[in-house]
Amino acid sequence: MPRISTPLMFQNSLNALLDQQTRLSETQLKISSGKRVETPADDPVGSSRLLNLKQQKEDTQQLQSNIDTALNDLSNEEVYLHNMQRQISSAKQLALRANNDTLTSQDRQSIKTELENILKSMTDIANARPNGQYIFAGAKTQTKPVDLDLNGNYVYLGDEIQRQIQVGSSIFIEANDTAKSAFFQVATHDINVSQSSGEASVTSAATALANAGSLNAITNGALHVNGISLDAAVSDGVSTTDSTASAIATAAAINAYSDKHNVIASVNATQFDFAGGTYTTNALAAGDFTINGVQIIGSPVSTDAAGLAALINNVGGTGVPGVTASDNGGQLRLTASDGRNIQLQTDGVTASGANFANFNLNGALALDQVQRGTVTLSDHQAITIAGSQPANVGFVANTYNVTANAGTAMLGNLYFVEKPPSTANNNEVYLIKFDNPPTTFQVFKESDPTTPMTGFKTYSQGQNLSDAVQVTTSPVTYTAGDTLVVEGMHFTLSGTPSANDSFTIALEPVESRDIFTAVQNLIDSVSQYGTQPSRRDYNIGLAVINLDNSLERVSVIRSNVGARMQVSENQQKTNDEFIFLATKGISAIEDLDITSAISQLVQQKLSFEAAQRSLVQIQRLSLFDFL
Amino acid sequence: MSNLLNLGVSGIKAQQSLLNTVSHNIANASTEGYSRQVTELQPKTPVQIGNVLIGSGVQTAATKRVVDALQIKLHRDNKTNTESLSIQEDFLLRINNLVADAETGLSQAYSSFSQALQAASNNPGTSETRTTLLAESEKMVKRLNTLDERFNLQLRDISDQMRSVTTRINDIANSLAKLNVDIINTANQGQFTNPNDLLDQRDTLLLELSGLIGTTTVEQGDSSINVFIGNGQNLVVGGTAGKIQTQNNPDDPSKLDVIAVTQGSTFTITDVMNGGRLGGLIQARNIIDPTRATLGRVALTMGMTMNAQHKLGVDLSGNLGENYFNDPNSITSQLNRVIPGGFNQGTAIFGVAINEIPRPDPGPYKVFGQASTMVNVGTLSQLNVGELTINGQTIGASLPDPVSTADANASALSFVAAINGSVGLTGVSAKAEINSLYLGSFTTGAFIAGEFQINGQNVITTGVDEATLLTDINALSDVTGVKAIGDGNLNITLVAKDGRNIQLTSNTNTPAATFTHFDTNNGTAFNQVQRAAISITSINPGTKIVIGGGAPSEVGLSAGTTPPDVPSLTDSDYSLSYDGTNYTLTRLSDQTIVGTSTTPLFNVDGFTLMLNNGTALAGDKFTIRPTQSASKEFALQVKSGGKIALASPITVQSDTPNTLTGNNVRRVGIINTSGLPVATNTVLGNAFQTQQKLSPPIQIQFYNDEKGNPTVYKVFDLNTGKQIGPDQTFDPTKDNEVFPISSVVDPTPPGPNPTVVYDPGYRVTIGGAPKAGDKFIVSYNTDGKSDSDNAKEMIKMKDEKLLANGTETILGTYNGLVTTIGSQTQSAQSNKDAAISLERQSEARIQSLSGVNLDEEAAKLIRFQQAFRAAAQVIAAGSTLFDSIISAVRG
Repeated sequence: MPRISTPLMFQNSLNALLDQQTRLSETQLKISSGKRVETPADDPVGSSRLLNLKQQKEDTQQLQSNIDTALNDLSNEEVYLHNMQRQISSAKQLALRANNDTLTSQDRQSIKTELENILKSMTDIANARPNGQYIFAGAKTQTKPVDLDLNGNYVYLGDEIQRQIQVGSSIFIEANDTAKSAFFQVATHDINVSQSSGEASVTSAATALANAGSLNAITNGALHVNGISLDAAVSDGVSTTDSTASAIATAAAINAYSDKHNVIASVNATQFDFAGGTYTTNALAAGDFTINGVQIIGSPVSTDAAGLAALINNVGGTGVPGVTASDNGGQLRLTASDGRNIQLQTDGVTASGANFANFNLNGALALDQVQRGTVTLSDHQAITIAGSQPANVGFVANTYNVTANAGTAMLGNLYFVEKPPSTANNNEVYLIKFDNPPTTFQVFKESDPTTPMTGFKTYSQGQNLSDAVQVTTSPVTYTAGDTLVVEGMHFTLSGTPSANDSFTIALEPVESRDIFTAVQNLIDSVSQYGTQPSRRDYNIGLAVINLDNSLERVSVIRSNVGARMQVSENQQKTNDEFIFLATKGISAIEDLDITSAISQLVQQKLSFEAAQRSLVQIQRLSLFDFL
Repeated sequence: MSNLLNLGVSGIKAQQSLLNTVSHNIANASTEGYSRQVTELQPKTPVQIGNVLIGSGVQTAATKRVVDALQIKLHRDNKTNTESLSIQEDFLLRINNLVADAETGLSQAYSSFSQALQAASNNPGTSETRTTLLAESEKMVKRLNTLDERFNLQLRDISDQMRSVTTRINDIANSLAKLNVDIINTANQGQFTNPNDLLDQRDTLLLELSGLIGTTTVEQGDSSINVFIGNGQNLVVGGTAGKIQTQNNPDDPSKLDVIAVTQGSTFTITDVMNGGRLGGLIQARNIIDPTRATLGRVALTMGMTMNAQHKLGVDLSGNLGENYFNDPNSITSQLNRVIPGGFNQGTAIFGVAINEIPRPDPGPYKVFGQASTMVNVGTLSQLNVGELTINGQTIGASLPDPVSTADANASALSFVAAINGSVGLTGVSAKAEINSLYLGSFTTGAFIAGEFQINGQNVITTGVDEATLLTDINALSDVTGVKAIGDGNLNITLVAKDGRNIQLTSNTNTPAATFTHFDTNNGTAFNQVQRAAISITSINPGTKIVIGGGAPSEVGLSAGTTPPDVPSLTDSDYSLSYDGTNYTLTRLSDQTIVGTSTTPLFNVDGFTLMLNNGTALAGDKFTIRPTQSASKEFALQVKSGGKIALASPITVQSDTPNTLTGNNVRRVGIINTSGLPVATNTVLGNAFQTQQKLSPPIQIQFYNDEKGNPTVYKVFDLNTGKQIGPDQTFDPTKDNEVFPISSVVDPTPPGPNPTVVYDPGYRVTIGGAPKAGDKFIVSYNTDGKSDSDNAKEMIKMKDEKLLANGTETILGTYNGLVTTIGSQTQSAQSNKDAAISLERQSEARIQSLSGVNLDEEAAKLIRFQQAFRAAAQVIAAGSTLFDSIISAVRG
């Protein structure tokens, strides 16, 4: 048993007492603050997680406040867009009302005034300035975004910047839209119509018989049509030799870019005329005479071109595929109506069935030769041919201008009736082409140059639009003074046409007009053409379409705004959940378990009191008291 | 009988001294450091009477302290430990509370600042958000300043305490020396004096000394004690006291050193104090120093990156931003970071500039090479094995490309093929840029065969005007691969789109026709060739491009790493020494030599150390503290909300009938608004050379290619209307980077100059589905009051890992600091608790042996009293005996 010194006895009791007191006070401090972790030293590991969680929570709270800003801005914008939609709808209703013969000039005046007020409201919306900032001006919030320039055109003066607000860790949403995108990027259907007559066309030169394999095809860069460089031609699949250099392959290569250069290439029938022929009924043996790979074997039925032609057309029972032989005034002619190459071969063994000055069947030389057909290019505008080697396929680099119609026929009185041009044909070219003889004509669309149109209407001179009858067949018989109504276009053909005369009507959309000009045009139409039904129909009809498109554009923007608001709101919920979880996590680390802390406090208090008591007791223990 | 008396007297005397000792013990029961004493008795030498030895009484042998010297030593060591840990805990607790507290720490202030920046970014047009941002910035700056000030306060406190502790140690040393003398004297005075109380006094002083500084003691035979400190410096030897003192560290006057002075020589013992309060103070200082450095690092990172980004934006008035915070590289700050050694002989003054801190760039990265000039055929360098390495891979030799007519094994195409042969290994792919050759002005006139050849093809032309020349050159394009472009003003450029070599030949004829940069009529035969530049792109975003090898210039590249490896600042201090030849820079935290050089210029660990003035002499030393003063110097430079550059300096506008809108043309980055050229040799220079203007404003316009697809765009200089660089190809499947533009010809005579890469200092991409005729204008953002593109970049900094070599964010670094201090504090606390309990144990052991137990003394008192009475009875008995004899004699 160790010896205890008196001061030690006191010191021990005192130490115990002080320790108890410190613990008691620590517990008491924690209970009063409710925190388990007061400083990082209390729990370094927990506190580093705590700092991270708090940081994440704060970041997310910042995102929430960003979302508030975004939602505030977007709902502001949404209200203005909604208002804009209402204004456009009103303008549209007024337009429909104005398109009426029974209106008095007073009525029209009041519609005009009303439209002017609407236009004013619309510019006011575009120049909306809540909180002193133009909301549709992009980043130039101190610049009035929509104004008239010196020429009286509506111009956008803002910029195209969309403010991006962060709503999620990697999600940004645009908090504004510019007047440019909402009101100046409207796809309008204001259409420029141009009409022309006549056609430009150029036909390639046919080759003379050339050795098979020596024909040049279109290679990359070899042929440029109206500035468009063509891709290399590919095999036509039917020619027995030089299949990439055939007329079919050439036309296909050209037509592959028709949407770019507008030129249509058509293949003409390939034709080869044998000259200086001697015809017998002697039999042709195998190898004597081969056309497109088919050996002509047998005896001609007569000693003339017709006899040989009959043999050729019947050889093997079917003749030569794609090639027809005929008697052309005593000379043999081969025709490939689809324009494929005609390949002629002889094996050099003397044949006695026939012989020709331009293709020697009796010679000692084996021959393998080919002839290519021709391609005709046509367009209602001038055709320019260029490239490094246009001669490869029989063209000459040049610009081929439109050839005027030979006849005196005219296309006149062109305007839109019935319905305004729809979106379907606002970029279309219509071709009215007279046949040979010019008693009939056909109507084509450039987008489908091989199918003649039907289904349009026509009425005769002296009749009205209401008398128009539908055309069900093509070609259509031509009567001077007939009026055609084609896809909303109205025009009259008159005069005497010559064969192959043509007229073209080209529609070209004018894009990206603004909705303010659209309304201004409507106002002008109402006041200018109010009493001219056809112009009024067209112009007001156009205005209605423009207003519809404006409405659609604003709706797109508005639903876009709505979508962004929804993204923000969804994100807000996600963020809320995250904040809740983070708060829970923080609390788990940082907060005190009050129940256990209080029971701890009670325990420590008991110990403390015991220590106090024992100190007092020890003090009383002294032998000196008993001396 | 007299014997009996003597015996009684000796007993009384002995019991008296025992009682004295007990009383002494009782009296000193509460005396600090008192050790109980016991008096030992021994029988006197017996007297021989006849053949009988008879005891002659008792005598006191000695009065001794009941002590255990080993325990006392142990206790002293414990005390040394406790004191050291206590003082550390004290300081740690202070800074722990400072850094973690919401009111004094940085976390909260930084968060508020970030939030204010966000709010300003969300609403850049309102002055309220800007004013708030300014106020929050100021608050954050103040917070950093205050933190540093508080740390400084702790450091001053440490210095003050060091001084007073030193004084006390010297006092104690003097007292101990004096006590040693007294103890020796007392011990020598003889048997009846004892130095017990002096020894207690000495032990008490030694204990106090141990609390102040770690000591070792050696007891001498003459009862004196020698005290040593540090690694064996004398503090007390016999009666002589040594001395310690504090003095400024010669390398860093802001620090105090502890010096031991013994017999005229001095030893620095700052780092060898082995605990005690003084040792604890040094330890605390060693904790606070890196803490301040970390804070400084945070301040510097914020300052450098925020300033850099702020300068890339424009303020409400449309002016480019200035420094947002104070310039960390002001000349004063630079010089403050280097402290010349106290014994320096030379005049050298050094400065430390903090390097630009790169923002994380996910790549992919792109490096442009250099095109060659026109040189004689056969002189272009081909690529040999060993001349070029990319990402550590040796690139094979270049083989002739199939299209170049001259030097085909030294063409851009051949280099690209060689480099792309190792794509799988290098992770980068190469591309031949367009070969552009500016011929200069054309003097009209005809060329006949031989007079002017392009890639071996004769240009035959009447050359009457530009158009004719161009047509005749371009008719050969299919063969030559070269197109000619004019500007309508007879200035001709040749372009090989596929990047093949352009070979120009001219015989000795003297035609009238000639070019400024290719003289066809001077009667000399020319045969020259130009190689295109190549560019190298990393395939995957993260892959860096490291170009090396024996001669990367052979292919027009320069050795280097893209993006450059920039090491981050550390918390360490550095030491620079000069031995007359070499400068040696040492990082003190790990004692690593980070640089040795004969020139006084080092670029290490995120800073650049350079000689500012004067010359160093051998033996000169400098202490470099790159980060220590940063948070003190941290200040807000921007003074008004309107001056905060939240907007981008450029804006992109589309022309109204465009298919594409501004959404398709995006501003994707501002790189450099310094007004200084980004790339070398660029003819147009940086786009931000003039205030509030883009130099030049740019128009991007779309054209149909020869297939009629709108995949060609040209970039025009709107000031001159001239095209910049060759036609560019648009890829509709991705965002196309417009800049930098390579293969830009430099039209300045005398030419022909090599082509250059034009980098205006900003980045724009085009995406979407354009239409021929679509136009975009890139111009200066003069009125973008609600643009917050630059603010967005500033916000990004919060989440970017800008510190510790790209591993830590600003707040992460600070929070790491908080956690580190927290765990240091916690471990100091528990270590201190353990040390205290050890100290209490050793004290208890000492007390249990040497402490006075009053009950024990009371019992002894009773016992000795009884013995005393008995001895008195002996005398009484003696006296009775004597009386009996007297009376018997009287009789």
